[in-house]
Amino acid sequence: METLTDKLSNVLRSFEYFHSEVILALGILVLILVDLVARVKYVVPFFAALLAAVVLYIDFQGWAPTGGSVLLFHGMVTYDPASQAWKIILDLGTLLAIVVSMRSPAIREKAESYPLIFAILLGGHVLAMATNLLILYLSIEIISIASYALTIFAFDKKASEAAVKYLLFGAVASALMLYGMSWVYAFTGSLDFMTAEFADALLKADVIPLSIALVLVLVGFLFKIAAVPLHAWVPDVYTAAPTSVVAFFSIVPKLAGFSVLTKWFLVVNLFGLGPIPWVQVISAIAVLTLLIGNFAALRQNHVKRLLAYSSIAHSGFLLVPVVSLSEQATKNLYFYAVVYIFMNLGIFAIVQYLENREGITKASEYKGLVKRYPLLTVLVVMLMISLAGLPPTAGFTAKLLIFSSLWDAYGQVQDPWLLYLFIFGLLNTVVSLFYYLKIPFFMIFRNREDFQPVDPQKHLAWENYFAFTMVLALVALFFKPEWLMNIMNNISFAF
Amino acid sequence: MLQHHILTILIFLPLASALVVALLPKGILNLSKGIALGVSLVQLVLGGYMFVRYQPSPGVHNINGFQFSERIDWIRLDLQGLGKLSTEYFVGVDGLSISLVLLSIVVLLVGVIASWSVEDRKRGYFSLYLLLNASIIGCFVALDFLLFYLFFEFMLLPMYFLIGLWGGPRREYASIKFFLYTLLGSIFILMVMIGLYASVIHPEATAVEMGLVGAGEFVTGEIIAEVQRLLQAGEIPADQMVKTFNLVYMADPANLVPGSFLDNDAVRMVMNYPARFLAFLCLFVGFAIKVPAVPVHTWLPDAHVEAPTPISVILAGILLKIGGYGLLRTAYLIFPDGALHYAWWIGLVGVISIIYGALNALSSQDLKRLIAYSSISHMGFVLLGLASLTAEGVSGAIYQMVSHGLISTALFLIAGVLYDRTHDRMIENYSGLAAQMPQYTVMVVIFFFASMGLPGFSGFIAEILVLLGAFGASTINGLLPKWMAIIAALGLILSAAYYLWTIQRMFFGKLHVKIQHGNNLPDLGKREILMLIPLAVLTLLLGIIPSTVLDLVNDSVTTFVDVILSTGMKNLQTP
Repeated sequence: METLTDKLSNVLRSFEYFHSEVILALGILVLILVDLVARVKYVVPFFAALLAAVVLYIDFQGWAPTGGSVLLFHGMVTYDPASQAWKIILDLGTLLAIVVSMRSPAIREKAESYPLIFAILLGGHVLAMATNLLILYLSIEIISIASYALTIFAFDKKASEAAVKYLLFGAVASALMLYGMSWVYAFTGSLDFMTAEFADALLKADVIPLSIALVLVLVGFLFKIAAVPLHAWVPDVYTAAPTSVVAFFSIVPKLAGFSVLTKWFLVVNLFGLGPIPWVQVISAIAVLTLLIGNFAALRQNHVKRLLAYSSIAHSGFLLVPVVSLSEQATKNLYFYAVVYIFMNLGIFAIVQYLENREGITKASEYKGLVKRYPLLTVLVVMLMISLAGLPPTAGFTAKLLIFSSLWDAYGQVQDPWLLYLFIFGLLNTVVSLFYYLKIPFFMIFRNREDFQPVDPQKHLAWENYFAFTMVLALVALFFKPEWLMNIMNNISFAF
Repeated sequence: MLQHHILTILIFLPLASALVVALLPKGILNLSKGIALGVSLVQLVLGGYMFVRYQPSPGVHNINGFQFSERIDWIRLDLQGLGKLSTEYFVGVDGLSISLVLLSIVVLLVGVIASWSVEDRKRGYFSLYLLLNASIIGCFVALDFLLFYLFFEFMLLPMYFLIGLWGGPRREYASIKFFLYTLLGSIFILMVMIGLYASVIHPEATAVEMGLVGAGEFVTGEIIAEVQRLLQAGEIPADQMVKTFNLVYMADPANLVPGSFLDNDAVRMVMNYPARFLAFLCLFVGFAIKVPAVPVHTWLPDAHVEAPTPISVILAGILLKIGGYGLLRTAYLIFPDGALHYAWWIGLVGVISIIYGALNALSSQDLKRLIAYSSISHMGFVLLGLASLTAEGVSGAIYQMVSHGLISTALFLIAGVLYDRTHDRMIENYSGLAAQMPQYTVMVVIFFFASMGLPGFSGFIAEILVLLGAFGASTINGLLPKWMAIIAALGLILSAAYYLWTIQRMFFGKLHVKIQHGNNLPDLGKREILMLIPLAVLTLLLGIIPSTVLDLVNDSVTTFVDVILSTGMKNLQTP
């Protein structure tokens, strides 16, 4: 029997691996205090960016890619290279999203949003490390509740409506997930889902009740990653929430969901020995997500709604390496995630810029913008090409990598669903190109008489620099993917 | 020095100039035309140098057999479980590509001259034109699949904007249709590319990886043979394999990873169909869209009719050839078994394209649409020649690509001449033009005759070679039945019919023009003559002295046919 001292010392030792989370938690409090005393409106966003940078730095410092895994807090969370990689990706996304948000009046002036953003990041960190169902559920709830609150930050009727929808939808999804977890606990008698006993118990459980339980748990994950059929909240929330919040939503909560889904999928799949053909189920979900995301996007005119469906479609692409189930596939998933951060934040920065300057939100209102913003138009074309996955951008490389690992997986298990995913996934590129070109199409092909070109000085807007950096990164990663891939390659996995 | 960097200069000169043109300050925008022309002239000089220095030699499947080649490692990704991914910046020419590179240079130059009258947003126009130039040349010289694919895809973007911004009334529809159609084709190609790269190793790099030779040392033929032996014996662990996109290595069955999807011996099935056949089909569909073959041709009439004249010229003169060239370089060389297996069907698609294109041309009211459909018809000969897999047929296919490149360039210029003057292309609205525009009429007659394959013009040599090949195939290798050649020959008669009928309707009889500017029809200008005369000379030259092109092509073609037949037969027999 462990004594209290043992337990305490375990907790204390665990904190050694928990630096960035502690700093995040303290940072959230400090941010609230700064917001109370600061009178200059840039202080809080600046402070937030600093905090994100510090967290990113610490996570980089604490990265031992070849290190093994360490159980922390009595197995509640696990520190391992895979989760550390996820944390760094989430930190990077948060940092860049905060940089984007600095230019948003809606966020800048209501600095309460920053503690919420960091709450989501904290939740994401814990989620990426979670190996216990309770912690998993808690961190998902941290993310969800902070997200509901962030949605409302435009403070208009539509935002409130979207937030309530989001809340109701989210609450039901969480409830179902928790209910499913309670069933799983009943089968296994354990909440530590990465253990061998847990897997053994799953193998012995009855098929039908187990399937029900696991499907219920899956509902919660699918909700977080915005995959079909639990994607319905996305378009409304993305349309109503402030643009920089949407940029953040499209990245951090979603990728946090993927960080845990990859782990969970590995557990429930039971090396393919389990009673439920998970590879086929997730492949089918990925195909549906791609189809519905892409085809629904075709009809959208509202730019943020269009990007909402695009982000749903990208969830489908991100599911591809999840079903491929190999170390390499997971690394390709990281690669895709980083590239996805760059392209999405680049495009959202531009959308926000045009929203603030020109007051436009619809694709058709973008018409003729090439005359006023020639450089910006080129950047939009490049970002859209990357989102569609065409060379010469890293969007293509990322797609090439995930589909190579999918092909490899198909070669090994010969599951026809993987082949369907391969074919549908690639063919979807053609569909997606149609709507990704919609915005450049209006910007370039349609004319507007009342437009005067602005003086060149205004091209030096800050968003242009940001988007330009993102495009530069995307092109550089196309020509030299090894710059990013070599970092990923160092990761050794515990499984 | 120049020998090894000439192709790189050909690609990167326009690329760099495109940037320069895009950044030109407002005051000196006229310079953009000059830069584009300068680039094309430099390319012409370099092309001339290549033409003189090129030594006829096979190339094709021999990694060291390519001329003017340059080879640099580009991406080397460690994908542990999947082995290592390696791509190279590998450019070079052999008999299959050199004539098409030279053709591209000529047509691109003509295109610049044809673009001289562009005044609307010319900075954008010429920088896109130069981007297109770079990717076209890149496509013909790339010997690495990823590099080829990069150029192949990158071509779409400038083309999309050039059609969509400077085109005719329905340009928006035509440009997006062109983009989506071609992208669909390239997705099929991408699927095969992923499958291929997972199945093929880079013997030299693998030797280095296994420690058989030190890094940077010369890898001898024996070592490569040893690596290939070990590979086939299954003695190379997966993480030491260096997978490659190199097209030449892909064509060598000894580099196929045993048991992988595209391995000959394994005969893996995908959806109950042999994977290699399926891969060949995917490549075929992908490139057939570009060629274009019936029934995936429907983007072409729209794109041609709506595109501005110089872009129609590029589209017909060069882009369609990339389809044919892609088939030669990738589908045929990598999957010779598929080429043999589907020869009959490819021949059939070719014949259908010939006849269907010709019938459509016959019924076209619009002069440009007529020429567009005649392109489909003539590109059908390329497919038929390829399908025959005889030396005559394949040489004929390449010859047809070059010849059609020159003739269709001229034909679209001719259509452009009329359109510039009247903004009307309807055949029925004109008659008796010969009286008003004698020089123009002479040019039209020359190129119409050239296109219908009259002896003395390049089209005649090309089509006669293709028909000889297709006719001989039934006795030489038994791939094509005789009736295909016979029906294809009917296409020649049809083309005579639509061209002669057009001449009769538009140029003979009483002068009558149904539109307002009818009385103001000046004859050819200096610039137009400057473009058409060299094309006429080249067409005649190739028709009278076919050895100019055939000498470049022959060695490679004979090797190509031998390799395809022998490897293909062997591959088909293994299971």
